[in-house]
Amino acid sequence: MMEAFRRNRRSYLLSAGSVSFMLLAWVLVTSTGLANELFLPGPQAIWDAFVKAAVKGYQGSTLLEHVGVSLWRILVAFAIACVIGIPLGILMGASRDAASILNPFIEFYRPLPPLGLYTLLVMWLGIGEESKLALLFLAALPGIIITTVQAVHSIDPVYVRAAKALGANRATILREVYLPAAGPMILAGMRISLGFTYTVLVAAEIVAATAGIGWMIWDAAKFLLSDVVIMGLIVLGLTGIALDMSMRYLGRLLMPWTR
Amino acid sequence: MTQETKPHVNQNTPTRGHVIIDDVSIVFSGRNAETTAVKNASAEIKPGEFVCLLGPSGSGKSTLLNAVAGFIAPTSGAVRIDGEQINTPGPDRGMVFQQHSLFPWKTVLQNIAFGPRVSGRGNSTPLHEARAFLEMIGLSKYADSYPKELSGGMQQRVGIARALANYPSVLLMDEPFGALDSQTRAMMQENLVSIWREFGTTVLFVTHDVDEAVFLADRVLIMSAGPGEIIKEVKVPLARPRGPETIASAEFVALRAACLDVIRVESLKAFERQNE
Amino acid sequence: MTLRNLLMSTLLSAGLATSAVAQDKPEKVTVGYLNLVNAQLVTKNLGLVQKYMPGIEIEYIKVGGGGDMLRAIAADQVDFGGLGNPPTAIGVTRGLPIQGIMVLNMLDYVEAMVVRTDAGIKSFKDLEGKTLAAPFGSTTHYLLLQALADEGIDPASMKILDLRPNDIAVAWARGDIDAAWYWEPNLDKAVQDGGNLFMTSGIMASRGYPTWDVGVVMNDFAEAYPDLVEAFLKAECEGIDFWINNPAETAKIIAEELELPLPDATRMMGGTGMVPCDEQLSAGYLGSTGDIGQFADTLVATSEFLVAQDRLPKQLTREDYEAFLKPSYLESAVAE
Repeated sequence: MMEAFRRNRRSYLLSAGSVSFMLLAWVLVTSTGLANELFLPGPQAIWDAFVKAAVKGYQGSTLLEHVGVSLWRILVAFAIACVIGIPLGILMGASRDAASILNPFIEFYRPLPPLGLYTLLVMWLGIGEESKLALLFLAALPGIIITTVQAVHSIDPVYVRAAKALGANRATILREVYLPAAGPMILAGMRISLGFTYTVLVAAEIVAATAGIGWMIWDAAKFLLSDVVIMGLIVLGLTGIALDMSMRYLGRLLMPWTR
Repeated sequence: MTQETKPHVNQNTPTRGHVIIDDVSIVFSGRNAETTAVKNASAEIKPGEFVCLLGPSGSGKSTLLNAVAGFIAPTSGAVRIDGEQINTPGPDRGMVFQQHSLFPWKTVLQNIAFGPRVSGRGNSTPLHEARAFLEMIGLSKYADSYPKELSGGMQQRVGIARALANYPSVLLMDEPFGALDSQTRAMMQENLVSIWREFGTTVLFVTHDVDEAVFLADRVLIMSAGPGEIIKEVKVPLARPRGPETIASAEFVALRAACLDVIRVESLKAFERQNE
Repeated sequence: MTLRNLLMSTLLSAGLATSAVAQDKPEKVTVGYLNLVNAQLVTKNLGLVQKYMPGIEIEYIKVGGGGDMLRAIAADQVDFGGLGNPPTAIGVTRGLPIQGIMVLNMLDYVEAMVVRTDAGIKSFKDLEGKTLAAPFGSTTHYLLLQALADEGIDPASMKILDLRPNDIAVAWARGDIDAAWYWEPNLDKAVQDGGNLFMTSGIMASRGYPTWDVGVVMNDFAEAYPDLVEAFLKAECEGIDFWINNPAETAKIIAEELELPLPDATRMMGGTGMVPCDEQLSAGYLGSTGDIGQFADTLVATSEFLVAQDRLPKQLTREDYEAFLKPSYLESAVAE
């Protein structure tokens, strides 16, 4: 217990140290004029851009609204990907036939860069929310399916045998054995997948968006507003961390035995 | 409905759990060759009898147990319980595994309640049933704990309770105490016997430990080292309840020696085959 | 390799690099050109820059739009570039190390607002409640908002989307948008597909909002090789003269460069205004050294607009924009 605490404290200290070092380097480089202010504005400029975007807004929406729109897009697309991907993955993991039927499609489209699909998505679904959600959904899906299949494969067969011996039918085994047994690994896959979905956000908001944190960064870049760009990236990073932490929290809530 | 505090136990002479193993052979076909794991095994286990299947490792005793459980279909011959031929696993046969098989994602109580809930067996609501069994094994205060919070011995007690909660006619145990230290193991053996005496369930218990087999069983069936045949039957007329003093008795020592003679020869055969 | 050899070769290559810098001409000149219809395509096709810079490798880089050109300039990836007035205003105000040396083209109906014929749009007022598209930050986005402001119409009363020209073509074909202000070669696709021209950049120019593309050079390059800047301008002026004097030949070149049918190339040429180099030095364009022309006023107006749009942090004075415009190179090029 004490040992764990000491280890934690050490890693907290190291993290705090490296972050402080970065901030200090940033202040030094910008205040001495070593870096061109156009490309790397100082912390004060970023803070000002943050306050301005939070209070006055950027191009018609406040920062909170931009973040809200983006989070809405991410979470809706990701939720749909989970609702479809996890059962599909469990099915494919538990049944060789299901895997044989679905594998060709997933193996084919998985390595395709989501951006390559975007043009097609815009043609099919238009410039509204549908194509943006579809792009994010497609970015999230393969990771979820593949880790779920792997998770199911790594389940100790003794649990399935125990459940059968206790009189469970196939549906019960899928729901009460495969799903929870694969749960922790599925959650890990979901976290990686959410991270990947996040990286596609800016791309998804390039076409015909008027709000969203990704769009804000894209728009500001066109006008060389690097303070807004960097501020947007920091906000994007922090919300990403917050999302990941809430996923872990949700995981502990849903899977109390992993605590 | 009244609160159930004890499992519903049949105190009369048991009538269920009559196991007949009828000329069972089990052949596995591998990539290059076929392996005969069990060869022409025949045995009859009476209702309420405690039988140990003893053999060196690789003797096919677990395979035979799995055939009784319904996980493996015999290549020829049949297993019948109370006149019904066994094809699939079912809640009439409770299974206790060697390794940890409690569902880690369910609490101790939920683990025990699982069988009654999904099979519809048992005498009251699954959770009441589970509480009663938990009390029986003396782990009531761990009802809401997860398996990983329990010691190995405690986990295996829960495993037994989980299997019994379905009121099976036969309890199948596959080296359930193999991973426990000797202290815990001795305690678990006494514990198991007292539960068995209370329930009167037929028990088929697989082990490679001669002391364990003789201490627990009414009858020990000894299997040969591959292909697994039942080569000897040793009746154990030791008085019950048995305890530490039983092990010290001359009768025990003699029975143990009788089993050990057969086992030693078989183990040597197995050892030589491995070195061929 | 021994340590001494390593040291020698390092010194040697360092020495070579130094001598290259010391030479009076660079090994390579990089020209970034915009993907639109103007005489730069002629200059490129005829190899005129090469003709005026013998012995130097000329590299042409095609750049999609003003935003990308700004990034290329900021990253020092080009020696010469071209920018429309909004990106120019952004670049100058944000202190990019560039100077404007010539007029690449004046924008007429090569940039226009197309509206869906069955949408019943007869005036700017009719756009209320409709969905429009324009590439944000471009000349057309600038003109759209200026036109709405002149008519007293709130841009918030309609949905204005940020789309790149090729995405506009897709959105138009799907029927997702009612109107778009953008440019050739994609503009004609919308006209052919149930659209008609509602407003052109040429008409907006006559209302006092000229839009144009200006040729720029990096400050460091101009300082090191002023004669090459002059050579570049001579080449571009020859291209402009060719455009004006040989329209049929020029159309063939444009069609070849942009892979277009000849009639399309001819039409797009008509929508682009090319200004002869001597005329560029008059008050309506760059003006002359000491008496900078209207381009400075356009930059002031564009900057004001961008500041009001919250896309520029600050406004510079007319003198600052005058300092960006350097007609002196063109003056020498024309004089010879």
